Amino acid sequence: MKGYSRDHIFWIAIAVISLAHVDFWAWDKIHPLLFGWVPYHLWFDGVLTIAGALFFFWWGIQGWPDPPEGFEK
Amino acid sequence: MESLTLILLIIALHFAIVLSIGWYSWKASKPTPEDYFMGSRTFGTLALVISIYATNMTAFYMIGIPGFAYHKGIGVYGYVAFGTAIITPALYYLVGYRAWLLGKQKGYMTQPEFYGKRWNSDAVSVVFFFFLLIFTIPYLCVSVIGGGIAFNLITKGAVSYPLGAFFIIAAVSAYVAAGGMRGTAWVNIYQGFVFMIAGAVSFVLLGERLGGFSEISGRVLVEKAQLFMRAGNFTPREWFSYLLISPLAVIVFPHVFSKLLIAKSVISLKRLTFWYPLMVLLTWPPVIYIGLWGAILKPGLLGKTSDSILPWMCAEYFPLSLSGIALAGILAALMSSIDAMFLSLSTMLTRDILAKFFPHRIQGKEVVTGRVFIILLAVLVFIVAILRPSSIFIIATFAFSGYVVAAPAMIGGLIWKKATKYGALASIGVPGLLVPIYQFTDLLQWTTFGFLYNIPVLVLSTFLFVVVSLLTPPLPKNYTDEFFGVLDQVYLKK
Repeated sequence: MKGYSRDHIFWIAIAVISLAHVDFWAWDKIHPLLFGWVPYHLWFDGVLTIAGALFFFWWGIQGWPDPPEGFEK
Repeated sequence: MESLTLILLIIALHFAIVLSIGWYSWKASKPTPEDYFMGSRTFGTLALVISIYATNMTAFYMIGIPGFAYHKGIGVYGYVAFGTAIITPALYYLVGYRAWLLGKQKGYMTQPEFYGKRWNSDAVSVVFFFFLLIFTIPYLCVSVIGGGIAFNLITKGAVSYPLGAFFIIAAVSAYVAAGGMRGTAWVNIYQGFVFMIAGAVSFVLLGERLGGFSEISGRVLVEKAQLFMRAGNFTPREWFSYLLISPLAVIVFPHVFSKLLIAKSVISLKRLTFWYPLMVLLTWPPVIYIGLWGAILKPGLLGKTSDSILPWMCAEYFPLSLSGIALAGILAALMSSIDAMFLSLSTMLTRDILAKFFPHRIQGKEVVTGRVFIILLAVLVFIVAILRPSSIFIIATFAFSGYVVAAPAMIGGLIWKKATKYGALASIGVPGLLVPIYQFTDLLQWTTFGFLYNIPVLVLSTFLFVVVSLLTPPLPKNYTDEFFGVLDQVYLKK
């Protein structure tokens, strides 16, 4: 994909992660407790947060369009 | 008494360090608006990442969030922090990168200036200025209130709430007035490390003193199991609402927008998006757990009184000397936001109002005027903080709600060339007037359908932006093409 439309991939990924966070189907769930004190919804959000960071890392290498040559100087 | 002296010495040392950095950056700066207000846009990855993160973490984070978790439990991470962790960095890419490219090319410093040029309209510029001013002042007060509470509790009343608030305001206005953006950013790096380390140390030591994480959290699970649940504390619709509120407010924050423009290179912005979620994940759960533990160790706090839970825990379970370090961490988090807000409002007033409408009076005096405005603003904020109208969480949420109104115009103005100034003005003006009605009355509650009121406000703002833009004449194509030139060059590789 080229041009502004390459951002579609970016926003689809962000939407998937964000919608997974609104997990109404597991609203009452707290088990399994990680380490005995981290409930399900916190560690699940932690996993999604790490997935988001890794996606941003990948996007920075593969998807983020660079400025024109010499622009930063 | 000796221990109390030790706390005050630790705080005095903290203040001495930030004032020294402010003084040093004053000496290092050039007497130009570009250097004072933007630090000559030369900030690398470490400075950008830490200073933007520190700028975002206010009393809302160190005082308001533990106070909110005291009532609502662990779900506060997902409710408030998750959107900040994921959608905020996404907006740094969408809005921040575009604004950085245009700002670097054309020298823009603030949103009123940026969007005024985008639509070639002084009206847009003035509306942006007053809109941001109105919602930033309550958000500034949040941090000063939090600082006053922390000072008072951790010194066990030796420093009164007003005196604590005064110390904070006086120190921040001094180093911001002296050091400008460079001073603010350098101080923020120091403060960012202080509050992250103090937060982690407080969490670990409190956990140990309370018998271990499993022990104390197990007690919460037995005595107040509700605090481990989302059901009963939040609905999925409220959860979804806050997912959008928090990040959309952050990208509108004038103090964050300005900081995004000071990046030296695109690499710094890329690294910011990667590190930001991880920093949220590492730093938010500790303060949430401290609030949660407080719910069983000091039960019965109602409403805004729970804002005192984190300082109370530090004062109660730490030796006084360690409390001094915790207080330094709390103050670092607050001051790193107050300074950036002071500077951004000062920049906007000087550049977007005075320089535009009174050019002859202001010419050559921009920096001095900016400094005087910071002092006047400090006095106003101090007065409001003394009145302390509501809980930190509620004041901050009110400010967030206001900021969200401007998000459609800010984002849409950067990605939709046919958007018009009329669309922007309508999308900010009309929903902006509804925010206080939603916040302080129940008149429009029926329009929320179970979501927080920001959602109907956001929908209305977006609707007006699109429809009014379609119904009104756009700017000449050559003007728009010239404005978006560098973006087309980057995205379309022209």
